[in-house]
Amino acid sequence: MPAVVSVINYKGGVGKTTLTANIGAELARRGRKVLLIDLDPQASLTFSFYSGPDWERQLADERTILQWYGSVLDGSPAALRKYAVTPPAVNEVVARHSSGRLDLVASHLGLIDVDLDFAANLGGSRFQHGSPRYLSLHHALADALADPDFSEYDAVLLDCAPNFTMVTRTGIVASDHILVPAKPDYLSTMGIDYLRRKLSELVRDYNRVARSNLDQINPTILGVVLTMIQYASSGPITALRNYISQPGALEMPVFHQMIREKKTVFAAAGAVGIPAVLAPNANQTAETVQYELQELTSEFLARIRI
Amino acid sequence: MTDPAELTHAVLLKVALFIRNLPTDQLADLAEGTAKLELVPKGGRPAPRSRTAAAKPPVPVEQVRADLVAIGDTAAARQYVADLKLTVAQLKVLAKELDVAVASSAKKDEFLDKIAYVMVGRRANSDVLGRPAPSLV
Repeated sequence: MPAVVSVINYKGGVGKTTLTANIGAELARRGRKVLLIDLDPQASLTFSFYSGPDWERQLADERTILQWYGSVLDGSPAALRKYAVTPPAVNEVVARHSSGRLDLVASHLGLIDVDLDFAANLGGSRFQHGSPRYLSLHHALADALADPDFSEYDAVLLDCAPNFTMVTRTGIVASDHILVPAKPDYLSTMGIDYLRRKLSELVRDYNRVARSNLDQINPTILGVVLTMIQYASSGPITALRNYISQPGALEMPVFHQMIREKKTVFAAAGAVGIPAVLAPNANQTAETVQYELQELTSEFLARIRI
Repeated sequence: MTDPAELTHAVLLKVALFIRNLPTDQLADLAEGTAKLELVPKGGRPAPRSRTAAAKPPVPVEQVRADLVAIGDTAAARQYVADLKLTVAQLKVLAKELDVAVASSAKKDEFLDKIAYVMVGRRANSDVLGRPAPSLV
């Protein structure tokens, strides 16, 4: 079965979607079959591969994660595989290099309301543990990804919203690993701590309800990826250094490869449906960023061992 | 040659030979008293004390590190470092040895804030935010 990795931080704007899209694209370029699932109602990952009109025309009404969660809440989960689509532009580039493939389960702006429906099903937002549907709803995405239809994939990356609502929780429960992008600044590094706390709480509470060892979950933190690094001639600028060293100093695993801040490369990324790592005709600056993303992907592969 | 008079004569000859080869401006400085001849041991001048050595904090860095970790409170940690009464140059050395990044143009307060945050504050934040809430199960 594929390795399932949630990409999440409690702080928004730290590069979650950028990392998900670029690691996924680079894995596909290297011949892996990768499925990206956009669990964020902002749907930024989705719009990194589809224009608004294409999304509305081809996906919005029937082929997004919103409809799938709807089927889960109705008590008859549909097969998730039929919601996966193959974004054309990025796969055209991938096909020039390998037989890999990058698929996507798109998100929907209406996903933000699904959490209210989940809360209603679970008898409210605070006292969910006693609900007879606690386990089945939490485990819904894990069950869906256990379908043999997904065995063709090497990896599934879940782009999570910066919160811990039920949609995010289904992603965490389905995950083998957690990847944590973080900007080296005060609030982003605090987001890592809060995420760690919420992960511990979810795993503890879920495993107490699950009871059976077979149903226990144990997602491991793959590591923190430091993003949006600004460099001076001697390395990262001084203002960032204490925050760069922070996750490691607090015993969090940290990826060696960091990703630099380059608005000229990332600002327009996604507009043509091709992540920066695969963008053709790269200038020297873009090549540097591409190299960092490739190195990061190599480290990612080594850590998840696929 | 041990007789002082003979030694003096021999030295004066060497000094005269040395002075005769000096440029005119240096001779003028010597004549006006704005420059002087200096006795330097053979092998050159001893190395001057480096700025780092001069700025070395009077308290062992490892002692400071251990004390800060034991304090566990950011404000108290800042006060502890302030009470060491270090100069900015000494704080710069201390920050470097504690692996705390501070801009070279920083003022004393910034050194105190950064050292307190990196050595104590960030772990205190992490402990509070990372502590799971009581289980409702």
